[in-house]
Amino acid sequence: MSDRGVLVPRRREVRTVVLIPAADLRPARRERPGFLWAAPAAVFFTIFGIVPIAVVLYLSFTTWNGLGTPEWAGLTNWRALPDDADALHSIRVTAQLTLFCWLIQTPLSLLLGVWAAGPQRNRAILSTLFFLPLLLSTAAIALTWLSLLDPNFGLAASLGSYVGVADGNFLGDDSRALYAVAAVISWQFVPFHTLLYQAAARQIPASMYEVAEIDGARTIRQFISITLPQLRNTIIASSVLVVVGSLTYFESILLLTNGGPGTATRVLPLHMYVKGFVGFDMGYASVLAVLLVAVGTTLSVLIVRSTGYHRMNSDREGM
Amino acid sequence: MTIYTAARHRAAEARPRVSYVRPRPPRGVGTVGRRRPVNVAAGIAASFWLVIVAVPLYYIALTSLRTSDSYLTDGALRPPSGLTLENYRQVIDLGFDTFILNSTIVTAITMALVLVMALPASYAIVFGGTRAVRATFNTFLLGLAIPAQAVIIPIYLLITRLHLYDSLTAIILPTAAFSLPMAIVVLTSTLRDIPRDLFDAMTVDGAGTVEVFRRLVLPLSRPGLVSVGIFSGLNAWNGFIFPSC
Repeated sequence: MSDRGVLVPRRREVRTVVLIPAADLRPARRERPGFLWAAPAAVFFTIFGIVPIAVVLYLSFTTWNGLGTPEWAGLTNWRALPDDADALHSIRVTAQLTLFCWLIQTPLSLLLGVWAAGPQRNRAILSTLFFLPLLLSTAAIALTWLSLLDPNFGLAASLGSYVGVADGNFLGDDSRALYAVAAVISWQFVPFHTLLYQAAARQIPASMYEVAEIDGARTIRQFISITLPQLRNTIIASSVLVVVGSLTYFESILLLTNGGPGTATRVLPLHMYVKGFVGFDMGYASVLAVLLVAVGTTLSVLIVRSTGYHRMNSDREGM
Repeated sequence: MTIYTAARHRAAEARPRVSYVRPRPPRGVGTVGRRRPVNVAAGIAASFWLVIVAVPLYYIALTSLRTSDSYLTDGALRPPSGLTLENYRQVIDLGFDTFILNSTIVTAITMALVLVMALPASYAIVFGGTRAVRATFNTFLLGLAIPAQAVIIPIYLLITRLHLYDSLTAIILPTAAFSLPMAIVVLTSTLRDIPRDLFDAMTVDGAGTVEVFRRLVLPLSRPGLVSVGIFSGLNAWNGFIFPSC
């Protein structure tokens, strides 16, 4: 900046002037976008996102069947939480599902996205096919897989033996149901994350690869040394979406297994649904909702903080 | 689109003919800028994924053309004995045109709302100076973690208070609100990759925030905008309660 001859002062006057043509002496007012730019989104989201959460927090201190008027009950619902074995179990299931989803989705969509951003022929057609699952609704996807995984009529019956499941019973087996659910959810969301990675990979300057090429770096080396570091922000953003998303998956699990067999796939949102809408205990369901929001927020803030993502500085080089 | 006139033609003739297209690189090992070798492993992996994606899609298409009997008796992937359009006729008879129109309206307005609100907000979050602006980012992170079914009751109460019940607006507003966090996470990660130097250079030259937004942020955020637009649109289109990513 100093070679332009304009020093940016802390106070309002320019103290140092290097001899430069007068035309260049514009007042150096360094404007940065203020809160006004974020205000519409913030206000709008506060009304429909934050206010309802506050209401749910209030409801968690009441007894309410969902129909009459809520009655203040103090900490009753919160005291019931540690005694609810199903809730503790569902927290464990949710954590497992989150882990599986991240382990499946992140590597897959990263590789697919980078590949789809690459130069090979037929890429456009293949990418389009890859993104097709995005067009289907959650319900449609869940029902499709439900019938594909049906041990009697589905594909699972004929293909199950190849993966060591002779009877093709994926969703009806305690030990396998959660993996099956994670696979279906991943099938649904990998295309979205692939889209993110593809958009980001396209932005990596080609010159970096050319330089690496001169230095004799091969494909894998280039991927590790250039692509991965350059995609760091995208990996973090996508991971936050995967982790927090898997905390809130609900529809697909409801349709695929309804939390079964037993409670093998009963995730926290599903447990909340069962308590609130099936058992008409809205107060206790609100406790679970608050818990869910708290865990999700904590996790996403942790990911963002631990990676330094919140500092909002680009780490893209060579531009 | 410029109209090709005689004057233009003469001007073009007068210009020296320089090709800006890179000359075809010599084939051979070790030449810089050569076509990167075909990545066989990646190709095989991609084909494998293609199968995983294509089979269920094929299955959906096929099943939509089946009769109920055929679903129970034929194999899962074998083309059925008799194809029928009966299922489609049933759906259309249910008043499908109304549903399609409703979905289209909801999708279009939601997309517009999300993009118009999320991009300026992301711009402020990434380039803004104040702590208040940064704090809004954390607020939106909080929004990611809100499961739709957890707030469905308060939202219902809110909608009835606003006298919006039973209207398309009642779907659009929460849908747009809950697409915002995802949109902002994606857009901020796009905007952060705009080189700071460009932003600094523009501001030093006295460009106002509006001008920076119009001439720097808007053109450079196109890929992210497309992703976000597509996704919030699909979310709205497929929305059931209202979508939560």
